[in-house]
Order: sequence, then structure tokens, then C-alpha cells
Amino acid sequence: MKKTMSLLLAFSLALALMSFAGAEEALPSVAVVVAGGLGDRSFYDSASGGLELLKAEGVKGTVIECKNDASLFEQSLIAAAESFDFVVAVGWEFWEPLETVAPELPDTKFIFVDNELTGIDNIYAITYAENEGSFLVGYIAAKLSETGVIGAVGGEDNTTINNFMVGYKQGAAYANPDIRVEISYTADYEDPAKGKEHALALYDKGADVIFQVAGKTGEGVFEAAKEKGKYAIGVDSDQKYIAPDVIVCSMIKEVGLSVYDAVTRYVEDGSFPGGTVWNANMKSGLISVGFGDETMPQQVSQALIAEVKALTEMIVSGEIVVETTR
Amino acid sequence: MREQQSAVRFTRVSMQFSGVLANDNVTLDIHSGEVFALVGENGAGKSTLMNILYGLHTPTAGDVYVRGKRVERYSPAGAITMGVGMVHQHFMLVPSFTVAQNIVLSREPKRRGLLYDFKKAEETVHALVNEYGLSVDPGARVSQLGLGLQQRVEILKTLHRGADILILDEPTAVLTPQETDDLFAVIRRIVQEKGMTVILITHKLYEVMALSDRVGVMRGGRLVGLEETKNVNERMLASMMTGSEMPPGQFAREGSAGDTAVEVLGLQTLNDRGLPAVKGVSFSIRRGEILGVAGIEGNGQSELVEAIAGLRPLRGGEVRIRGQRINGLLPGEIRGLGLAHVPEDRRLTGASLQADVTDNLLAGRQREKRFAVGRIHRKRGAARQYAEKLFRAFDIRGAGVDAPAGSLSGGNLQKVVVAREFSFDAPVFLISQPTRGVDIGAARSIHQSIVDKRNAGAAVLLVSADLDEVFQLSDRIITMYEGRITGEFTAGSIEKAEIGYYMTGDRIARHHSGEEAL
Amino acid sequence: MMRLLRSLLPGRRKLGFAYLFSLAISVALALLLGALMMRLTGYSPVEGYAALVKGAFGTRRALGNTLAKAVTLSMTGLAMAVAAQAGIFNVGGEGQLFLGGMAAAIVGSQLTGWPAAVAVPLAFVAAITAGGLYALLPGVLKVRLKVNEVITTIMLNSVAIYLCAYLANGPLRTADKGIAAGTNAIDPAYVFPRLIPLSNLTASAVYAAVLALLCWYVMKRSTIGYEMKLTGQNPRFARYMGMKTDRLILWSMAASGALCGIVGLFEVYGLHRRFIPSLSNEFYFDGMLVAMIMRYDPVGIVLMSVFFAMLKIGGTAMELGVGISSELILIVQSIIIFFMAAQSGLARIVRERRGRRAARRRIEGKNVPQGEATS
Repeated sequence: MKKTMSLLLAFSLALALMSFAGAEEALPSVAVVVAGGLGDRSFYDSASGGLELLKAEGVKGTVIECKNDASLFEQSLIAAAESFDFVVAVGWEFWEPLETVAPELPDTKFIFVDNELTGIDNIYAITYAENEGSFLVGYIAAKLSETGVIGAVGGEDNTTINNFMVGYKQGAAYANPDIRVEISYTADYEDPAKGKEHALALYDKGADVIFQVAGKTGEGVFEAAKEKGKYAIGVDSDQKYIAPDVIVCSMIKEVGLSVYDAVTRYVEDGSFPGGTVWNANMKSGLISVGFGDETMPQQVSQALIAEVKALTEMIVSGEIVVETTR
Repeated sequence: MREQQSAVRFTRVSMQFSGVLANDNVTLDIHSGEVFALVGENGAGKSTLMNILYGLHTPTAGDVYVRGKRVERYSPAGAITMGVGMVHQHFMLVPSFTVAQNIVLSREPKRRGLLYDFKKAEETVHALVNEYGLSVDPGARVSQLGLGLQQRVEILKTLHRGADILILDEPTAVLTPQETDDLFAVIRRIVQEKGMTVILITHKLYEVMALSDRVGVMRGGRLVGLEETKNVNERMLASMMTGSEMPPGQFAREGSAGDTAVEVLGLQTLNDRGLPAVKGVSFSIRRGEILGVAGIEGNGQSELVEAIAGLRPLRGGEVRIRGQRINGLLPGEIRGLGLAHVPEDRRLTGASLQADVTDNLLAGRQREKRFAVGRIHRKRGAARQYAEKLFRAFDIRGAGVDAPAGSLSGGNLQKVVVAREFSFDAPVFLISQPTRGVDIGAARSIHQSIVDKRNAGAAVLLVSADLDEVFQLSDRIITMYEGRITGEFTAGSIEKAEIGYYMTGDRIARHHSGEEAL
Repeated sequence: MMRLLRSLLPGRRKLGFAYLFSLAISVALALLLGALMMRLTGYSPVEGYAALVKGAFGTRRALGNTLAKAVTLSMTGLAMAVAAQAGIFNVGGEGQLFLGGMAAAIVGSQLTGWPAAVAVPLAFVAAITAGGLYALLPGVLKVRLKVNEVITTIMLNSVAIYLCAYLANGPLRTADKGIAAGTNAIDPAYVFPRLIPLSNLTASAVYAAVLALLCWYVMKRSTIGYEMKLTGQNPRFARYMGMKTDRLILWSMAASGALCGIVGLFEVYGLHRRFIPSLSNEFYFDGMLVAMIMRYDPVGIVLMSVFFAMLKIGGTAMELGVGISSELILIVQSIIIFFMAAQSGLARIVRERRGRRAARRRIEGKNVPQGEATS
């Protein structure tokens, strides 16, 4: 009996050593769990883009889509945790499922993007200074506007979306103190038809540039812009390619890059600041304005782009403080 | 005067549907350029025969010749190419299309072989309208037309397809008297001016007299009469349709009539199309009495029975069952007052074809103590035993009590209905067409059961298209015509031959000037 | 073999042996086609299906999730079947589910601090009332005004779903951090315990089992179920036989809506602890399909729900483990549905052919010689 016990002990010790040795070399695996489905050309796609970057460096990973089936939120997190070291949760819908699940799975490192969930040791939250980037596109919109009215279509009236809106308004006012900003909320991230209706209403109110902050719904804003021959501004990733003639620029929130950063930092020095929030801002280079590539027609003049560059530096240096809802 | 060239010839045509011989060895010649009327009760086989001509059914035996040419393949498309067109009782028009679009449907004029040519279509239809003198606006939407005009569109459609033999199935069933007159004018015109052949399916005898050159009478799938119209009258046709060949059987009648069980006072009700069907009918039935209703079908008998059973709302008058007023009561409540009912249509009303025989036999008793604990929990074993008992007692033939009722033949299904209703110990029975499609032996036992119920003191209202049945069973007989009672007789006080006067409205016509409303 | 032939007779709408036989063949064929597709896309079908079964039943948690999915499917399927029994096609279960969930969430979040033994039954009453009354609306329209219930129930779905989304985004929106849309959470004391930790299987399953048994009893063993059945098969006959068809239709519609409302309650009290706008992802329509495939037979619905739940839960695991896209499972499901839809058509054609041939044989054997004799 004693003999078997000691044998067993020795065996498990050897196993532990072996796995430790293996861990040194092996890269962590990553699962990205999205609440909706890929193909939004915005938030979800941006997150999965970060995974692609990691895969390019040899990380094993997969994307799990919940397709908006609420009964799968918790289960997808658990299933991901069973096979992967990192689980990246994309979508506010995961707030409560993470609160429930993460404490039960202490060995898994959760990254929760775009939400300020703190206080759980194995959840690292990333928020984005979308207010800073919105300041810049607000400035551009006000400069391009001939009517003195600009608009924004929000997916929902909530803290995150309004963080875009305050920056957008401030930037616009910075460019033109008399500017009027019209805001409209669709209460839906998945319905381009609704986005189009809201955008058309705003154009009818005199707006000639509209900033879309509504995920897939925002594609309807681009449609409306094409129909009316007015301007629109993209969000989350560089969306200009969708409609280069009417999308003047995009407010880029590098969700994917932030995930990439978080994972590579862990690989480099083993650090995982669970329980805290990282506010990815302009200073860290994860918030910027994109203008597509040189093959696309540009509506924003070089002079204006230079002004935007200057403003960027002022924000990074702290010379301009952008308001926030957080 | 008239060419005796054959337009259509049926030679020994038989048509067997599962369990029913709808056409039995029919041989018939229809001449070119005549109006031929085909009459008979519902289920006599006249529609089936015409559906064969129109290619909807392939006859199980016999042949059909159109203008001397034998029909090889039975299909509507084939019939149309042979010049046969049919206007059904239910119009087959697209309501949202215009008249012109409906008429040219499936043979639309095309521009460059591809595009629909609306103008050409309207021109074609205009020409057609002028040629036949059937005035209707080609640009009007069918949904906006009255039924008379819709029928005209149907006729034009068949003409556009090149038909010169036109079958009209009960064409006046949905028409107002004015529309009927217009239709008759149209028929006369296309026959006299265009030399078309028209076959008219109907059971309204005055139409036959008014319009046709010759008339064929069908009964039980057979052609039982073929006459020049000028040689017959409505009464003769009526007796041919209802038949009077069967020797009357005798049933032992016991007891004498007791108290009044059913009182009907000035009953009025509408048919399914919302037109008055029963126009103020009064009668009463006493216990131990069978009151027979004789009449050509479609004169309000069905609606009368349904109104008494609570299946059709009363529009006037009242009905009392054992002194209790039933106006506005549900069918179930009326049954609760002691009424059992054998409906005329066993497939639509009398049974659930999908349910098994047990469920059909049990209906109405499901909450009785012996079949349910506390009115809720079904005792399925007891139900099955009960069903098996009835199944044997009424000599029902089929795959057993677990088979769906729809798998039974018509006669056996009728036995299921009769078995169920006669199992109720009700003081009042409404019985419609009890032996239609039932073989002679079974008919006789159903007749015996009806008389037994009478002898046991039940009041029976018997409606039948079979005059023999009415004469054989009834203690008293009333005749109905056009929703009104035209005569009342005690058994033996009138001859079958004479009752035809009352069934065809002759008596009303004679007194019509005197009394406007009966 | 005789029974197989007999059940092909016209009017047979029961879940007969022949039907189950063709269902088994359909399922086998669909799985075979699925295997073929795995093969073609470079995966091993054996490995794929093994991963599927293991993913659905392999661990306690997987088993729990599969059963939880089966609970939702069978409850919605039974809701469909209860209405169908009386001849009503309730397409509005999704809306009834949302309203039931919303009503239950309001009760659970407003009445905090009550004993669960009082609050939870009250929540059931609220969910049943909300779902039931909402289903009654198209029922009344059908009975009184003869308005087709398919149209009205579909329309009312959107009304309910948007109303609930509005409430969850507007007047009833929680102030809880991180919840972008949803009502306040219900009192934690009311939350259904999980039967298997970390899985979706909660005490809902116990309630569901009781309800399923009740549905089966009412539909198959009670006089009311018998009357509902006859009403559904031939309303004219049922009325003629004295059944209160209008009332039966209304009751079955209300029961169907109540069941849907309870499913909404299950989602709130079991999983989300509050009403959220994504409460149901067309769960009712999945249940409808199951019910239709199983011809509204309650036992069949429960069994088929487990099978479909296995495909759903196992399919996700298969994607994660072997890399076969879970869309493939959707294809397999669609093929089963397609085959079953085609089945009734094929059976009818075979039946008609056979009937026609039999009739002709009868006539040729009897009538024609007679004709010859007379000629």
C-alpha cells in the first residue's frame, strides 16, 4: 500500500514536471466568444481579427458564435474555458454570465472587452477611450459640414455608446462652436433597415455628415448616405472600403489589437492583471482615425488631416481633455 | 330542322370510386347543336359523367367519343383540344386579375414571344365579346364583378379556348332570377347563332323545361330516362328522378300518436350564401309518429333540419321541442332536450373521418359515467367494448373499431352514424337521407330501426330524396318547394304520382295570383 | 407489414408504426448525408459523430445542457401540439413566451424579499396569465370573427417582442452596471436551483416534467382532450355532436399560450435572472418543427426534443473539438424536416395509385363481363 502510494506520488511528480517544462515553450490557446455572429464588419470582426494576429504567431484559437441565443452565453464561456487558456468575451451580454462562470473556473483567464467589469481575479477588462477618437471624427464632421448640422446614429442609449457621443459633440464644437449635433438611437445593433430609416430622418433634418455607432445597424447609415449623396463616418474598424464615396473616415477602436496586446504581454512576462481594467486609449495607439487606403477617393483634405494629427498629439499629451461618460 | 350529328357519345361507361359505383354502364348520345339537360338528385352520377367528358376522371370501363373520335387519354387539356369546355359550380378565376387577363390565362398573347401583351389581350377579348354578344368589360377586375358576370367570364374563357361543346354544372345555383334569365338568353344565342352544343347539369326542373331540347335522367349512377323535352313535364321528370320501382316493403306499425313533441312555427332561415332558404314553415310532430318531408333536393329541406338541430341560426319563427323553446340554443343543449340527428352529409357532418370508429361511435357519450371517471378520466376499455357491441349489432363491415372512420365505405360509415344516433334513447329524431348510398339489405334494416323508434314512442322527422322511402315510412307527409310547405297529407291519402305536383310548385303556380306569400 | 399498409389508409394522421418507420429512415438518411458531407470536407464521420454524441452526453454538464435544451424544445412543442389538437395553428408562441417571461420578471423583481414559496407561484400565475391571455386574443378573433389565426398570431409575435424590448430598454430598464438592456434582476432567493452545477439544467426540468405529463394526460386520456381532438379533426362534426367547440378552441389556445409563458418564466428564473431582450432566439419555432414532425404526439415530441437537443448541443461541441462546422448539423436537421414533409406527399401518391389499381381490378373482375353479356 505504502509502496503504491509512493509510486503514485513519484509518477505524478514526474508528470507535473513534464507539463511545466512543456508550458514554458507552448503558447497559450485563445477562444474568442462573440454574443452575435461574425460578419458585422465592425466590433465582432475586429475582435476575431485580433485572434488572427495571434494565430499568425502560432497561437491556437477559435471563435465561438452564440448567434444571439441567450441560453448559450454561459455555456459557450464554459465550453471555451474547458479547452482554451484565454477566453475573450465580446459583447456586453456576457456581463452576468462572466460574473457567474468566472469564479467557478479560476484556471481560465478571461478577457472582457468593452466593459468595465472589475473585482474578479481572473477577468481582465478592457475599455476603450472611444470618446477620444470620437472627438477627432466630430472635428472632421464639423469641418466638412456645409449646413452647420451633423448627426450620429447610436445603437443604444447607454454608457458605452454615449461615451462616443460626448467626444463627438466636444470635437465638433471645438471645430465650430455654432455646430448643431442631432443624435438618434436605433435600439438595435443588427438591423441595417432601421439604421437607414434613422439616418434618412437625420439627413432630412439638415445633417450632412452622420457618425454611425450601431454595429451592423450602421450599414444602413451608409446606404442612406449613398442614396442622399451625403457623408457618413464609420466605427470600430476602418470601414471606408464599404462605401468609399460617402464614408469620409472611421473612428477605429482596435479591439483585436488590444486582445493581441493583452495575450502577448502575458506570453512575454507572464503578467495577467486580472480584476483590473485597462483603458485602451489614444496614447496606447489603440484609438485612431482611419481614412482607408490611397486607392480610395478622399473627401478629407491633407490640411484637415494635418489638423487632426495635431489634435491627436494634444490629446495624447493631455493638452486637450476629452469628456467621458465613464 | 336539327342535324342529328353526334357531338358526344358515351358507350357503356362505368366509374367506380372506392366503394361507390358512381356511373353504371351509361350509354348516351348527345347531338350536335342541342341543349341537353342532365338531371338527377345529388349523387345520381351526373357530375361524374360530365367530369369524365371533361377529362377529370378516367372511366373504369367504357368509352367516350367526341364527334366520333374516341378519347384516348383523359385530361382536361385533352378535352379542351377536342373542343370540350366546362364551367364548374365554383368559378376558377383569379380575383385580382382583369376579365381579359383571366380569359387569356395560360394562352396569353406575347410580344416578341416573351412579354405579356396586355393590349392584344384586351383586343382579343373585345372581339370575343362582340362575336358572342356577351357584354362584359374586359378591363374590369374579376373581384369587382357579380357572380352572374363572373360566370359569363368563365363561359368566355372556354370559348376563347375554342370550345364548341360547353358543359354547365348547376349554372343557376348561385344566380339571382335576373342573372338566370340573362344566362338563358346567352345559352340560347350561342346555340342558335353559333351552333354550339350545351350540356346543362341541374336538378331544377323548370330550367329543363325552359331551355333544353332533350333531357336525360340519372339515378343511382344509371341513365333511367332519355326524352325529348317537349314530350315530358316536370312531374314525370320528378318521379323518374326519385324512382318508384322498388316494391314498398311493409313495416308493422304499433301504437298511436301521442302528445306533440316537436312544434315548428313560421321557421325562417338562410342558406350558406345568405339567401332565404326556408320561408316560414310550420308543422308539428307527435310522439309515435313519422313525419316525412318530400321534395326535390335544394328546396330548403336541409336548412330546415339544420335549423331545428341548432346548426343553423333561425331568422324568424320558433321551434319547440317537448314544449321547450330552442331558439338560440347550442346543438349540444338541444340534444340535451332529447334530440338525436342523422345528418344528410355523413362525411362532412356525421363523422370525423380521421378519428377511429370507436371515437365516432362514442361521440356524445364521452362524459357519461360508464365512459369517464368524474367526467374527466376516459375509460378507454369501456368505450372500446361499447363500440364493438354497436359494430356487431349494426353489422358494420370494415377493418374494426380501431380503424379510422374514413377507411369505411359510404354505406358502412352511414351505419356508424345511424348506430350512434339510434343508440340515444331520444324522444325526437331528425333523420336526413338515411339510406343514401347504402345497399338494399342495410337500407331495410335502417328502415326497420326507424319504425322501431316510432313504435317505441319517438317523434321522427324524415327527410329523403327517395320518395319510396318517404311513402313507406311516414305517417304523414309534407311537401316542400322553394322553402315553403306546399301540401300536407296523411299516409295513403295521396298517390306517389300525384305528389309530384306539390314537389314542383305546380300547385303554387296555380294559386299564385291569389296568395302572394304562403 | 399489414399494420404498415393499414396505417397508410386515407385520413390516418396518427403517429403510426409506418410513420415512425419512415421517420427512422429519414433520420438515418440525413445522418448518412451528414457523414458524406464530413467526408467531402475532409473530416472523419466516425470521429465527428463520436464527438457529437460525447459533446451531448459525455459529461454531466453536457448532459445537463442537452436536457435543458430538450426541456425548452418539448415545452414549446407541446404548446404547439395542445393548440393543434383543437385545430389551431398557434404561430404566436414566441410572443407569448416573451410576455410570460416579462410578466414573471416583473413579479420577481418587484416583489423582493417575499418567501420564494409565495413569490414563485405568483410568478407562475403572472406568466400563465400573460401568455394565456395573449394567445386568447387571436383565439377570440378566430371564433367570433373567423379571422385566420395563422396571420394574427404571426403579427402579434412582433407586437409582443417589440413591446418587451421597449420595456427592457425604457421604463423597466435596470440601473445595474453592465446591463445594457434588461429589467431589474429577480430576488436571488427565487432563482431556480441548478440540477447539475454549471450546466443550464435547472429546476425548470422538474416543472417541465410535470407539465409534460399533464399535457399527455389531457391530450390522450381525458374527455376534454377527446373533445379537443374531434374539434380539431372536424369542427362541424364536433359541434353537431354537442361539443362546445368555440369554448374548446379558446381553452386550447389559452393553454398553449400559458405553456409558452411558462417557458419564458423558465428562461428568466432558470438562466438569466432578469428579462433580457434576447430571452428567446426563436425557441418556439424550433419547438413547432419538432411538434409537426412528430404529428403533435406528446410522447413523440418529448423524445424528438431530446434528439434535436443532442444535435444542437453536440453540434457545438463537435465544432469545438473536431472543427466540423456546426452548420452541418443544421443541414442534417433540415434534411430530416424535408424528408418528413415529403413523406406525407409520397405516402399519398402511393396510396392513391394503390387505391386506383384496386378499384380497377374490382371492376374488371365484376362489371366488364356483365357488360359483355349484355352486348
